[in-house]
Amino acid sequence: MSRSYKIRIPIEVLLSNDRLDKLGSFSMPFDVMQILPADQMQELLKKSLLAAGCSESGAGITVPCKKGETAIIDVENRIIRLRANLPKDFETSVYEESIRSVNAEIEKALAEGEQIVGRMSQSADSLLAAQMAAQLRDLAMEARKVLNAALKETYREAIKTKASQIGNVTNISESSEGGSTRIRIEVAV
Amino acid sequence: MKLQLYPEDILLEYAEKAFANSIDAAVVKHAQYLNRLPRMIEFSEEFAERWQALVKSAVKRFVADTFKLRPFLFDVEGYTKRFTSADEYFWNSCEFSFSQRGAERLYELLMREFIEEEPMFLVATPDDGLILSICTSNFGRYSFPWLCRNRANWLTQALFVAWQQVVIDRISWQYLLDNPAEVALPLREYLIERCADLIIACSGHMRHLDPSTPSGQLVDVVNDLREDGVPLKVSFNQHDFSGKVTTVRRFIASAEKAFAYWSGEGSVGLDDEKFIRGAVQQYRFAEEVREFEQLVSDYLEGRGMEGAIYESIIQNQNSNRSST
Repeated sequence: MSRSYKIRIPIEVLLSNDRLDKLGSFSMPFDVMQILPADQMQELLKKSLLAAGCSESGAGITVPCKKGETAIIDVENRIIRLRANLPKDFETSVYEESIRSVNAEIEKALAEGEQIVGRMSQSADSLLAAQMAAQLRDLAMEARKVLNAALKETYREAIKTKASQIGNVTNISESSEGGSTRIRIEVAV
Repeated sequence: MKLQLYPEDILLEYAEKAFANSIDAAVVKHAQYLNRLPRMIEFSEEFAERWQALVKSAVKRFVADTFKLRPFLFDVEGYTKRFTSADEYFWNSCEFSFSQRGAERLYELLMREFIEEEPMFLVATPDDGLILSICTSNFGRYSFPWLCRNRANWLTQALFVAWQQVVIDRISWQYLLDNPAEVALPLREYLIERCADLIIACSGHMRHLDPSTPSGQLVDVVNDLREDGVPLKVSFNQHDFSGKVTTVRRFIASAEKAFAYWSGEGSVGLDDEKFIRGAVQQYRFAEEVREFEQLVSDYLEGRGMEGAIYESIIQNQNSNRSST
């Protein structure tokens, strides 16, 4: 009976950089109600996100995440860009008698900068795809939660600003029930 | 030195301490001699009188501690009036029946170290059951079908409603809602309050559910919104979301049916149906149900959003164009 051994294969030997990029990143759009002109809404949203603990970077507003993950909110283009942590290796079992040939294949692929084609790379692709999809989904939900709270704050401020353009704001009251928030603003015109 | 022990005196001392601090903290003065007492005793007439006096005052104290000056509805010659535990009418409306069986069961608890059998708690009247529940701080031994079958008065039932902990898929006092004709007028309004509190607790539980981890969220929620009331503790023992929602909806349907009966064909006097309708409004039952349903749909929407995001990620992984 053959023995099988667990070996770790560098992930770039099994999947191309383009494929890895596709598996490890995801972008999703979001809407912003245009209560005020677009540039003012963007400013308010940026302010709310920064107040919620996000930080500004060249690419947009970065949401705090786990190490190795990034969630960037591009306020101008209304897109959330997500990047999850890709594993460096793929662990698999190889029979004793195949170890030598597998190692040779890995070395060749590394030397030539190419990928091993076959069952091993297909299996790595499907396992990694499922793992990354779950990781990106959780990251997306976390980023959405931060964005939703910031949008709520943005709308609240935008409505107040809009109301103050109509006349003197005399009273502001808020009430929440279930998932909806009601803001009542009284204006003396 | 010769020491004379009177089991009846020891039992009364034990009962007094148990009423004050529960049996776990009730240690009698001559505890070291308990093993010399008989396993069963025949109570004297003098003891019976002292027992009645003791339990009556203990139960009155317990009622006052539980309900404070909360008013209850009563039918007085066809008209509805409110009375609290400070009013004579309140106490005249119900008769307690304390038998020597309650004393026997408490004696069994006192001697539990030396009697191998568990006390037969169900061999008692509902009011004996009440005092045993107060002494042991455990109101879960007596079910509402048992209490009703044994003709527990409304106040005893109300005390069990107040103190029984609720497990969401076995709401013990739902029996009363399913059999609304068996419920006396004073208990009806209190049940409406309790039903609203239960829905508030369910909404509280729903707010803490995370759509990304739909299973494994078993928690107890304590609703202590009413300063003067006994907090309602609800255990959510069901894993699956839809099972939980179905259970709560079934409870809501039972409650609504009972409220409709009490304010319709089951009304007692000339005007009590107005009070019942008023209580349903006062305790915001319909609003609490709406809030609960809103939270259910928010939760499902969250789960739907999560599903949609997941699907987009999979589509993106399988597409040929760049994702960014």
